[in-house]
Amino acid sequence: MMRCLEVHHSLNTEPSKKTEEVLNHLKICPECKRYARQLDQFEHNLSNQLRIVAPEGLAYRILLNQNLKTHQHNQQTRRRWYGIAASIALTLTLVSGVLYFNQPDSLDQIALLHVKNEQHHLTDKNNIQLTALNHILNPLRIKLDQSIGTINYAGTCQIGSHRGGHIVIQGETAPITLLLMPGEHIPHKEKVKGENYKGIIFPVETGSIALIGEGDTDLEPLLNKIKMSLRAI
Amino acid sequence: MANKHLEFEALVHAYSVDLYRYAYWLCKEKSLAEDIVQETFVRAWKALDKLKDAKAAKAWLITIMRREMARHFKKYPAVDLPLDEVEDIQNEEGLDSVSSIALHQAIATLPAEYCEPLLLQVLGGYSCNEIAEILNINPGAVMTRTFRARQKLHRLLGDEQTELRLVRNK
Repeated sequence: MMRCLEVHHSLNTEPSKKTEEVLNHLKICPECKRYARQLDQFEHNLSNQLRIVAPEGLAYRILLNQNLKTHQHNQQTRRRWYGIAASIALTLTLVSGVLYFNQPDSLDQIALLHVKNEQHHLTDKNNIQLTALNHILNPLRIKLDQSIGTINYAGTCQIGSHRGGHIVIQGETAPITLLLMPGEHIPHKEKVKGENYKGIIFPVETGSIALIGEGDTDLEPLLNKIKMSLRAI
Repeated sequence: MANKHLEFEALVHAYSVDLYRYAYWLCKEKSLAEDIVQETFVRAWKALDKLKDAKAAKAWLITIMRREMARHFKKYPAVDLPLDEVEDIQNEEGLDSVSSIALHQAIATLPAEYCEPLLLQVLGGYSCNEIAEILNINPGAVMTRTFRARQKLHRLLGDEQTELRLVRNK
């Protein structure tokens, strides 16, 4: 059986939860029963006091505040997306502009420019033999099966975005430049026209070949020879 | 999204008043209590997806509010409610008797550590174990605090019958 002190302690600790033991004690102890009644009255008053009146429209103000915040947030998000979209558009415009203005020249222009820049090789007189020539072309995985004429210069250099072969052949009236450009592909044979140089550029299995001479030199016979002789290794 | 709005609206209607009362008794300032409740719901909205069990909503909101309250008092330390504001309270709350005013005043003087478990018990209807979970203390401490809170109130109200009973039994 619980003692009075324990009952009082229990009633003051958790008044709404009267255990069976407490209830049994209250049945037989009139003093504790009276005490419990007083405490119940006190709890009632306490509960009433704690339940202060909340400001009118509190819930609606909270909901309004939340709606405003959500709306604000949506606007900010929308603005942020507009900002991102504008940045992307600007970036694309700039990138396209840069790409457009820095667009590399077409392969025929590259070939012409290369001949012009290295025109000092046009006067070379090295008379390179076929074996030596193939040795020079070996890194490009290209070889010539037979002689295509007198070779005054042969070397490898950067042409466009790949390393290629630069060969100067003795023509009937003027030197002719043969550019072997592995990895540089064009869809079909094209004419090359510059201020002082003219030529042709045509596709082969491993890339393209340009044959450029001065003035109106007929390049077709040499072109046929090259086609017959050129092999990929 | 529509469901989230409905869920949120239901929470506001169900618990805003209780939260306001809880906040008021901890800060003893009506406008501040409302601000804290507003901020509590702003945070609740943001974290609503984390609320998995609707039954735990009230305790969840109380936890958010307690954090909000702690943040506030860290920034602006609490000051005691001056006694001359009791008249305002009387008018606003419509307290109609001297004993009601005295009880109101007595509750206002309870330190937060006693007041909080008492509020959770009387306003929230939580058991000692549930209060212990919300306040992150052990159930024994909750029992001690609710007991002491009531004893302090009895003492402040000069309620000898309810307070002295324990002394006599010792």
